[in-house]
Amino acid sequence: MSRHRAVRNLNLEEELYDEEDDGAIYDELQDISEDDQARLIKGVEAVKGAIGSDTGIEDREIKESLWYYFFDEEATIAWLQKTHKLKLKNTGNDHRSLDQIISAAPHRPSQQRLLRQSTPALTPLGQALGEPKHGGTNLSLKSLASSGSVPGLARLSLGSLSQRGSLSSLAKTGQPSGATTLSPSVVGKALAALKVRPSPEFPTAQSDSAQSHLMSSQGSSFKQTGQPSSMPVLKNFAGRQLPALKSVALGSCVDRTEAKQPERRRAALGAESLVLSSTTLYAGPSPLASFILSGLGSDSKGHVREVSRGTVVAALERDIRGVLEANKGEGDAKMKTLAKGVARLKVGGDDNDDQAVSSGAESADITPAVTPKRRIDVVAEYSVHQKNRETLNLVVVGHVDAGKSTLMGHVLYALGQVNERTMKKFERDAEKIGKGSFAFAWVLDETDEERSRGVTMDIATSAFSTQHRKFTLLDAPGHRDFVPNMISGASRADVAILVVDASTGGFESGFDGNGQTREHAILIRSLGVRQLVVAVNKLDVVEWSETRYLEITNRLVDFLTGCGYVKEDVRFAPVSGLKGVNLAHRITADGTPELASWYHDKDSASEPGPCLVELIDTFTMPERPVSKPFRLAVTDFFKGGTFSSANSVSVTGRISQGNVQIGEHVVMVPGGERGVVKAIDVDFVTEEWAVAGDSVVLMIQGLDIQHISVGSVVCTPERPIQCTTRFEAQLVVFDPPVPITNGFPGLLHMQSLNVPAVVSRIIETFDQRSGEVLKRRPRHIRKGATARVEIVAETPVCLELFKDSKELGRIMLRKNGETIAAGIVTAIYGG
Amino acid sequence: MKLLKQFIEKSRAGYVRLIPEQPEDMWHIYNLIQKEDQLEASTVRGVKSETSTGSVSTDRVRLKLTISIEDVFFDVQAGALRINGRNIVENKFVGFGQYHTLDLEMNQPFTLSKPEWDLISLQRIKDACDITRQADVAAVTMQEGLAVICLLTQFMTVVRQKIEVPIPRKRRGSTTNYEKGVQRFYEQIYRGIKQHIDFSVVKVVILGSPGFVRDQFFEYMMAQATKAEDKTTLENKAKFVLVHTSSGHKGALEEVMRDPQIKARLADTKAAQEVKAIDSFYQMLNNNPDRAFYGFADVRKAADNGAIGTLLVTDELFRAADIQTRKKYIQLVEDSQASNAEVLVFSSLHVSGEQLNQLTGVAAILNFPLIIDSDIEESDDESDSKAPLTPSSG
Repeated sequence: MSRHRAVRNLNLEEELYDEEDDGAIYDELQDISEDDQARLIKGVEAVKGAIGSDTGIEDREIKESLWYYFFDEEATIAWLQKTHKLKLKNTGNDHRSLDQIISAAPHRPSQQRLLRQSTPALTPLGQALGEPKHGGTNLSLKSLASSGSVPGLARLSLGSLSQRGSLSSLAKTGQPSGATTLSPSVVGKALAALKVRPSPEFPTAQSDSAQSHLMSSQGSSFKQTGQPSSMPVLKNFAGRQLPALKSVALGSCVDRTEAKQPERRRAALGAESLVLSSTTLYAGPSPLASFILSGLGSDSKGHVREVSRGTVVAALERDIRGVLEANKGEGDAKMKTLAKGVARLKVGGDDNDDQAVSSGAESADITPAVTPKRRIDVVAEYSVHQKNRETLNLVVVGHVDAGKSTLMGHVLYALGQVNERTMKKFERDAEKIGKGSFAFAWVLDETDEERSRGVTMDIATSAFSTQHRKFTLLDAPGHRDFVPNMISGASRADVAILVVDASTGGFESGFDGNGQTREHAILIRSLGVRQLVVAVNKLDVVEWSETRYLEITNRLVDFLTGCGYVKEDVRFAPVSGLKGVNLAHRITADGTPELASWYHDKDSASEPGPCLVELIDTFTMPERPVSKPFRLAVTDFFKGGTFSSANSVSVTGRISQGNVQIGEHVVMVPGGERGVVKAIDVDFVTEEWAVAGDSVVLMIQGLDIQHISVGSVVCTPERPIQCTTRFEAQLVVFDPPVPITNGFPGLLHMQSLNVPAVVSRIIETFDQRSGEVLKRRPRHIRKGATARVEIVAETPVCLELFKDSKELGRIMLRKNGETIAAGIVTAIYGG
Repeated sequence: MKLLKQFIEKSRAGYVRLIPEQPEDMWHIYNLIQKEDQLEASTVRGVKSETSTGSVSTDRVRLKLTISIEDVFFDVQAGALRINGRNIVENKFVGFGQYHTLDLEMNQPFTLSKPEWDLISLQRIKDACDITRQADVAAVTMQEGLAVICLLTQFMTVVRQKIEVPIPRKRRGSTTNYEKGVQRFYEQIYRGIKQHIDFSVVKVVILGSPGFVRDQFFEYMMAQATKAEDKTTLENKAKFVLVHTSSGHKGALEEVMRDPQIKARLADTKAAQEVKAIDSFYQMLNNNPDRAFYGFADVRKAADNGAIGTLLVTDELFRAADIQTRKKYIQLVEDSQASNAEVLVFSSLHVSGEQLNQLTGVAAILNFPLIIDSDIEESDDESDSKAPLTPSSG
C-alpha cells in the first residue's frame, strides 16, 4: 500500500478522539476552575513557607499534591517531606528490592489488575486475616512501606480496603474469626485454593453485595478482625510468589504504617462525601473502595475514570482523579526505575512476576505469569479471567442472498466496529459498480471477487463485543457450492444466527426444495450448535407484516425442533439488515410503527421486543475443555504475521481443546514437525495465552510451510492427535438421493478439511433411540437410518474419538454437493 | 490397436497378432494377458559372450523371444507394460527356461497365444480395435487450492497432474495474500494444461469446478494466452467446456459425465455409459432394493434365477491372478448373456469403475424383484469385505 493511501485511510476521528481522551486523563490540573487555581497558588505558597522553598521540590508537584489532598496543606506537607526523602533514597540506592518497585508501580492498569485480582483473592485472604496472630515482621514491612509513594499508597490502600470489605462480609456470614494460629501450610493451602478455583465461588457480584453489607457492619467487624494480625500472614503469602497478593499484603501494611496520612485525607473526603458522612475514621474509606470495586466489577474494561459514573459522589470522583493525577505526576520518574527493575528481573530470572508489571504497562487485559521461565498455569489463569474472556464463536448461516453479510456488516457498523469513513467509502464504491445495496456486506466480503459478484465465497472472520459477551463472528457463505467453507466455519462455532429472507418467495426458495436454510440448520446442529437465533430478515419488504413473520416462525419452529433443536434455545427476531432495524437497538414507535405495533417484549406489552444483539447477548457459555491436551485444527496458514522470521508460519484456527502459551513447544500432525509458539493473537488482539474456544492466530517458529496443510492439527507434543485413514463412525443418514452401500464414495468433511473417502463397510444399522441393532451387515443404509460404518479416507486425517473430543470427533459425509450424513468417530484403526 | 491375425481353434485355443498404436492399447493388453499365456515379441537383451581367452563382454542384442508369462506390471502414468516370464523357444542367445522381462513397445507387433480365449478377451480385442469409438477428452477439475488434470479415453482415466497450492484465506483487513495465492494457483493450472494436453488429439477440454473458479480460471488463461501469444491455446478456445461440479477432487468427473452439455458430446463413450449404468443401479437400490444386487454371491443367485437385466462388472475381476476366480466371473457373464442380459464391463481406471470396484466389483439390476435369504448374504459379505481395495491408479 502506498503512503498516500495510508494517509487517506488514516482514521482522523479515531486519532483525534484518542488525543482528546488522553488529555482528559492527564491534564486535570489545567481543567480546574479559576477559584481552585487561586487556592492552589495560595496553597503552594503556604506549603513552601512550611517546608522551605529551597528543597528542590517543584511547584507543580506541590500543586498536584495539594489538588490530590484537596487543599489539605498539612497532608501535602507531610507527603512532600516523605517523597522528598524517598527520592533521596532512590538516588542513593539503585538496588532497590523488587518489592519496592512493585509497590511503587504507579500505573493505572496494574491498579486495575490488582483490584480485579484482589476481588477473588480476598476471601481466602480474609480467612487468613481472621486469625489473630501477632508477628514481629512488622518492621520489615515498615521498611518496605516507607518507599511507598502516593500513587502506590492510593492503589495499595484500595487493595487493603477491599480486603476489609470481604473481611467484614466474612464476619457477617459468620466465618470464624477467632480460631487458632494459622500455620504456614494452611496458608499455602489457602493460596492453592485461590489459584485453583477463585472466581466461581466468589464472583464479583457477591463481593459487591458484601460491600454493601459493609456499610452497616463496618465498625464492629473491622475491630473484630484485628488489624496487625494480618501482616505476618500476608507476609507468608507474599513469600509464595503471588504478586497480586504481595501487592495487597504490602498495601495493607503500607496503609497501616503510614496510616496517619491517608487517614487524614480520608477524613477530609469523608466529610465531603454524602455517603460517607456518618462513618468513622476507619470506616470512611471502605465504602469508597467498595464503590470503586463495584464500579470495576461491573465494567471490567472500564477505566478508573468511569468508576465515577453516576454512583459515586463528587468527593470520590475527585479522589480518583487525584489518584490519576498523582500517577501521572510520579509516573515518568517511577517508570524509569520500574523499567530498570523489570529489566534486571528478566536477566536475573527472579522468582517474581515481571510480566504482569511489564504487560500491565501496555494493556488493561493483563495475563500475569507466575514466572517467566516456568509455564503459565493457563487453566488457573483462565478461571481467574474467565469473565473477561467469555468469547463465543458465532456463525451466521442461511440461504444465499438471505442477507447474512449485509445484516452482520450492519451490526458491526452499529456496534462501532466499522468507522464512518470506511462505511462511506464502501457506499460510494458499491454504488459505482451498481451494487449500492451491498455496501454493508462489503464490511465482510473483502475480496474483489466477492464484491463484484455480490456473493460471499469464504468465511469472513471478525470480532465484536456486546454487553456481556465477546463474539468471534464467522460469516458463512450461503451459496450451495461453498458449503464446504460453511462447514469449516460452522465447525468452529458455538452458537449461530440463522438468517431467513422474509420477502415474498424469498423464504420459500431458501426453505423448500434445495434451499440452504434447511441444509445449514441441519449442518450446524450436527456440528454441535445448540443455541440459535433466527433473524427474520427483509421484513421491511413485506411492510413488517406480522402474518408473514408468524408464518415463517411457525414453519421454522416445526422444522428446527424436528432436527434436534430445543424449542427454548431457538429464538426469533424480526429485522432488516439493510435498513438496520432492530439490530443493535430496540425499535421505537416512531422509527418503525408497523413493527412496533406488534413486536412487544414478552414481559411488558408496552416495551418493544428485544433486538438481535440483545438476543445473542444472552447466549449461555458452553463448557470449555481447557485442561485437555492442546489441539488446534488448522483452517488457514500463511507466511508472515505479527511475529515474522525466516522459518515461521502463522496458522489460524479455533482451539478445540486445551490451552497454549507463548514459548510452548507444539507438534504438527501429520508430519510430526515441532515448533515453538512465538506469538498468539486472539480475535486480532495479542495475548500471552489462549484456551479452548478461542479463535487464534499462532505464529510458530521452526515449521516448514510446505508440510502444513488445511486439516493439519497443532497439538501438544506430549499427547499428539491420532492420524489415520481408517476409522469407524456412527452415521446419521439424512436424505441422500441414492442409498449408502458398501464402497460408497463421497467427500469426508472434518473441520476445514475435505478429502475423498469411501464407506468401505457397513457394520450394522441400529435404532437411534434404543440402540438396538436392526440389521448386521446390511447391504445398504436408507435415508433417516443410523448405522455404524467403517470409513477409509484417501489421505490420512487427524481424528479423535467423539467421546474424547466433541469437535475433532465429528465428521460429515457429502456427495455431489449434498450433505448425506453426519457422524461421530467411534473407533480409530491404526494405519 | 491393429489386429494383424487371429487364429482361434474350436477348442478356443489360439493366438492373435496385434500392433499397439496408443498408450491406451497397453491397458487393453494388460487386461488381455493372463499368467501362463505365451507372448512372442521383439525385445532387447543383454547377452554375455565369453571369448576363447576368457574375457567376458556384454552386448545388447535385439531378438525375438517367446515367453511364458509369469508376471505383468502396468504403469498407468507412463502407459508402459512390462512382462516377465520364462523363455520357451530356445535360440542362440537365450536358453530354454531362462527368465526375461520384456517391455512391449508401441508400433511393434506381438503375438499372444492363450490356451483358452474367452469371450471377455475377445470382446476386449474388438473394443481395442474399434477406432470409431475413440474420443480423447481432457478434464480439469478444480476447487480453490486443488486441481486435477486428467485425460479420459475410452477405457482409461489417467491423472496427469494433481496441483495443490495452499491459498491463504481471506482475513480481516487484508486480501492480498489470498489474491496472490489464487494467481499462483491459476498459473500452475495453466502450465499444467499446456504441458499435458495435446490439442491435436484432445477434442474437448472440460473445466469443472464449484463456484466461480472455472470461470475465473478460464478468464485468466485466455488473458495470459493473449499476453504471451500462446496460439495453441487461443486457437483451441472453442474446445473448452465449463461445467459445474461440487468439488475439485477426481471423483467429480462422475458429475461431469452427468452434465447435459457433456452428455451430448460424449454420449457414446464408455465412461458416460458406465456412469449412467451405475446411476440407474443406485436409483434402483433406492426405489426397489430387491431389484438391485451387488456382491458376487447375490448376483450369482440372481443369474441362476435368470433375473439379471443389466450386469455391471469391472475388468479388474478378469485380471485376477487366480484362474478359478476369473472363470467364475466369466461364467457369470456368459450366463447373464445367455439370459439376454446387458453386460457392461467397467474399466477400473474410470471413476465409475473405481466406484463399482468398491462395491465388490459386480452388481446387477434385475428384471424382477428377488428376495434373498439374509443369512447367506451375511457370510458372503464377510468374504467381500476382505477383498483388497483397488490399487491406486495414480
